[in-house]
Amino acid sequence: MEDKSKKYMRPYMAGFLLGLVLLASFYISGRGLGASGAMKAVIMEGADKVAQSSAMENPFYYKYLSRDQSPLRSWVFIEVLGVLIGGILSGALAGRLKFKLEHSPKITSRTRIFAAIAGGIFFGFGAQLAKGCTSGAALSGMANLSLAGFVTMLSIFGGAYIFAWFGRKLWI
Amino acid sequence: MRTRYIILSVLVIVLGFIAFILPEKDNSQKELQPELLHKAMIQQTRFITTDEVAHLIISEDPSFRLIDIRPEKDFNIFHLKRAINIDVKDILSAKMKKNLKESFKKNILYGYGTVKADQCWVILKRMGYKNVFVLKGGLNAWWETILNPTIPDGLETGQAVLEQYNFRLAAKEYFSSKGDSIVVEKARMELQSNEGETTGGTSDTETPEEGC
Amino acid sequence: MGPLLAQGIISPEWNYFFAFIIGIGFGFVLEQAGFSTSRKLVGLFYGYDFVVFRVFFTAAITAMLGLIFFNYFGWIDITKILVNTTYMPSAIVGGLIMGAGFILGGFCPGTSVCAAAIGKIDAMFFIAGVFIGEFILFQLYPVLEKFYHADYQGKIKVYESLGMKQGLFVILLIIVAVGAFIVTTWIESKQKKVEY
Repeated sequence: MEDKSKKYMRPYMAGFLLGLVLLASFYISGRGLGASGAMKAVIMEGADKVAQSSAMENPFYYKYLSRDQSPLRSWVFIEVLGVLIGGILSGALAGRLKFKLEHSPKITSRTRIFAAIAGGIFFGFGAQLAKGCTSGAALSGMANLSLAGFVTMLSIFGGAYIFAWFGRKLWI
Repeated sequence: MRTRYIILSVLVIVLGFIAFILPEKDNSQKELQPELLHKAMIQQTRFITTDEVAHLIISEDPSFRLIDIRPEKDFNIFHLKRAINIDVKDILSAKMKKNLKESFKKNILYGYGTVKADQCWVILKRMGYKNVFVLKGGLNAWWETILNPTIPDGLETGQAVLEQYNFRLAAKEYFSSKGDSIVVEKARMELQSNEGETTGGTSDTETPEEGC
Repeated sequence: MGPLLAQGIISPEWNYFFAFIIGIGFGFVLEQAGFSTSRKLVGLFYGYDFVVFRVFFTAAITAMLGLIFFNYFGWIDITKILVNTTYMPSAIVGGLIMGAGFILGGFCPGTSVCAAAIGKIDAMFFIAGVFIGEFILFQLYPVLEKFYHADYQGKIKVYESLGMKQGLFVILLIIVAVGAFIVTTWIESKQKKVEY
């Protein structure tokens, strides 16, 4: 089976470069990276357009919808659009652009789809509860030496290890 | 390959060690430009009303702190709940710096009236502290609005006014204890003689202590 | 001196432009590192691929040291950096829930976008799930509000809460991380190498 894709970058090199990107983010915008905030921005925009008055009753929405600028005018949202482009670029250069539904040979594609959705639901819920995901709270939070960053990071990895045994059929 | 990783590991540990021995440096600009200070002064956003403070205290909001700038003996006679005492003459001291550095959202200064607290605000604002506010009217207003609220007269009508009055009645219940009203009455008497003073020293020329 | 936005050196509009560029860099590096495939990402939790651990901690330490040195050289005002606010219970519980999500879905929001970019369909479903999950939290917010805001500790730094100086924490962290890198490399060498 011909494998046209290039090999992945060495981890420490990738980590170093990622660290530089993170540093640039702090230097330019005074904040670290993020990801889950982008989905939030889209939800807020949707709420604004579709159900503004009832959404405003919920104090969480109110905080974002009562500004006079669009919720999409959010640093994280624009950054994540960049992530999309960056991923495409890298995939194109490495010959890895291909539609694929990856899953362990031990489960079916259907199972994988359900698990992916469920995983996303858990992650989205947890990320907004903890006010950040692995990119925003854990990675950036550790770089700026915040307590929240380390606590969130330990909780995410700790939680994953705890649940790993239960989910082992999904992966190995 | 192995050697490369060893070199990298040593390098990063050395960098960490250098970070360890580096002295801490504060690059934050100490003084606010006059134009910006002027702009902040004209806006009234630094003022907090007695109603708002009563609400913060009653709801046990954790993200604010009251700073009483009156002399210690006055503070000991009566002070707002959970307030700390830093006399006007001590506002540039290390104690104040330490208190302001903590990340409370609001540091609310208050005195008998507004003047002294506001002057403290100007100095602290110029030094670059951001989350400093002033209780409008000071303890005098506290007495008038919270401890002894006046019934809205016929001229002021409307739901908001009534709600405010009801809130103040409830707040009065919360804050009053037997001794308070008498004590505050006494303080109010002293207020007349105190509030007329202007501050003595010119804090502008004092150099703030070096902080890190 | 940085941060450029806070010091008024760049305008908010330029800031958004740079957000886009930074995002491109982020996505590019993530994909290059192999974070666009879920099977590599969960390898950390099953002991067959520690790439996530290596990249993550190397990046955090690089940026951490970068900030410290930049501050020392006067290139950045570290007090103007956004520091995450600590709400203990929600950070822990939210983190645990995210951990479960990681095992189920095999992604985190950032890597899922990166993977979806190169065509991974499971990542696209994950992203859909993230929308749903966030939406659920928003709707439940009035009920969860108290828990969401519990134990507010402000923008406290990790070394402050441990009662040690910044420098000491950093060097200890680096030593622990390097040790962990060595151990994980050893563990990996004992496994059959599988390429994803």
